[in-house]
Amino acid sequence: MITKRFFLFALLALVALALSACSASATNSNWPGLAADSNAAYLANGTQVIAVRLSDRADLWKYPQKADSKKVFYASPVILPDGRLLIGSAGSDHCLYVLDPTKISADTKEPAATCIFSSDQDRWIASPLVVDNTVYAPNNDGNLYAVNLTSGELLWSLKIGSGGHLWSAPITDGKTLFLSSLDHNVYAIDIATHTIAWAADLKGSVSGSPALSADGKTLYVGSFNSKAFALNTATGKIIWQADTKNWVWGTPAVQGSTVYFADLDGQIYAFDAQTGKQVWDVQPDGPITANPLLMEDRIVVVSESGSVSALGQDGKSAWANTYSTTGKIYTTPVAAGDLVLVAPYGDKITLIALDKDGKQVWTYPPATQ
Amino acid sequence: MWDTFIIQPMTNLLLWIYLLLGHGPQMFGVAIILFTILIRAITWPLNAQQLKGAQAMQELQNDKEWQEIQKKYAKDREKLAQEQMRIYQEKGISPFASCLPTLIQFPIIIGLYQSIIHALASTPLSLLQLGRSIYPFLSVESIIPLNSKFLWMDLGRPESVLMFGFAVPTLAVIVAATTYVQSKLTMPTSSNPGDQAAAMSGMMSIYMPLLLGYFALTFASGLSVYFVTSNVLGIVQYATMGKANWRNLLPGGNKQQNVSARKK
Repeated sequence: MITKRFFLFALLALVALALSACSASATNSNWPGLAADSNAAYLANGTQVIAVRLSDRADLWKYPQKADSKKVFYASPVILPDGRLLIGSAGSDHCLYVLDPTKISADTKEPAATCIFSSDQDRWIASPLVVDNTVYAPNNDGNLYAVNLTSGELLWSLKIGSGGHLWSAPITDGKTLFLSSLDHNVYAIDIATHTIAWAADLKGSVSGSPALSADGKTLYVGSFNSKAFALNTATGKIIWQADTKNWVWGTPAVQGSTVYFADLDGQIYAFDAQTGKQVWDVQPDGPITANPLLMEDRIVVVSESGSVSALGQDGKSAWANTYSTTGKIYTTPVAAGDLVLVAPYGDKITLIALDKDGKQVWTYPPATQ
Repeated sequence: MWDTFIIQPMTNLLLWIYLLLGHGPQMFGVAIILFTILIRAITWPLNAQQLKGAQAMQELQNDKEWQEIQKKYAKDREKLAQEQMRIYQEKGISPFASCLPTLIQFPIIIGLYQSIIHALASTPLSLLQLGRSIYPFLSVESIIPLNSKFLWMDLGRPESVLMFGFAVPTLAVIVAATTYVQSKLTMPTSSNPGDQAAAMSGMMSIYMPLLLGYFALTFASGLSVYFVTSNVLGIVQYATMGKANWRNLLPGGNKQQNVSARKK
């Protein structure tokens, strides 16, 4: 009887443990978000936002200092003009935080943090957009919230489509917000009336933000339908569409008359921005979720294989190297002064700084830590 | 290995049902219910075997020869075990037959929980992984994103209903209640005060509702939908087989039966 009872309890404990293990891993179950200014890199690394000084990779601060299961950060922080940071939590607190690095607590060593707005319903996967003093924040509950940055007052909210799954930051031309949704649509929202001006069905989820042409007339965006699109910003009508070999995950990059898309097959495509005619395509390495980074005359791309490559405008390789031995790179690289910052996922090294020629300058944390 | 043979097939089966249902609002919850019915149908023979095994074990507790060897070899455990095995063989009873369906439940619970979390893809990385694990015959572009809403629940998160300013975990209560009812209905009645099977069932009828209620409280509500559906189907199965002891639900019902059994 005692053996049976022990066996039963051991089995139940095992199931409880297995289920708990599944949910516990959720706190760090996405690639990090990354942003940088001329002084520091800001890494949203799951349980913490970490500030690293660029000149000597020193820890400036961490928020929170001790991991809190309610606070989870994946989205790239938005750096405000005054140096404060705005970031949404993907944890159960549903908070949009403003972090002030000029006010570091002597006690906790954390920057002053203010939850300026909290969604009752769901998490913040996407980065917000800040225009003047208004925060436009898409939430996973399917609503776009407009919030006063200073007071945290909710100015308006708008349910987007059938609701749910807003995972990318909106962009704007000053009058209209353009927002992607996993519900297969790209939406144009009139800021003045906060109503949906148009919705374009792209027949597949849209996970990356759209990119705007220099004249503001065309919107470039890719979808899980394995297609690249150019849309008319006034009407949402498709100007051109081109096939890709796999899902387009990230945001395309526009430079002059060319627009660059990357897909999960690892292909980089250069299309004529006006006509959609393919100029070239190359496959530097593994699947690409990150946006291509434009640096002067080069296009820097990172892949799930852990490699970083730089291509010339003709598609020819300028340099390529694998810096992360165990990690994968999904996060969009960021340019900071003369450095290119790369954030691997699943690696002991969480941040790598390269120079413009791909030479490794430093890694964070340093090997001795 | 676990992913390839358990999680991936389960996820694809769930998504296939979801696709058949038109992948609209509410349909992922319906897909979980249909998935549970399918699992119950597959394990029906095992459950029937469990019931028969439990009944045979219960009858054995009242068998004179069984009771005699308990007394005779009370101090010689080795000999007692040998005699017990002999009686099991003579009567064609497998003492572990009643454990099998319970054991099968656990990998299903773990697998289903992981499949629900996997299918609902709450982060970009999990969505990326989901896209790769869907079998080619399913139209992945049209399935994603899954609609996680079902009735008042978000199937990817623990459930609670706001009542008078308090978050009340109604589904956890329903899970615990249906588990209690199911285990009470199948609880053996026995006139033997030292009946181990009855004591074990009594213990299970207390701990299992608490444990599953805790799971419902803590984990994704999609798992709770599975628990409730499975419990209701179990109750229906026992009732249709004529094995349900409805009196057990009444306070002191089991004791009354024992008394009446002794009088006979």
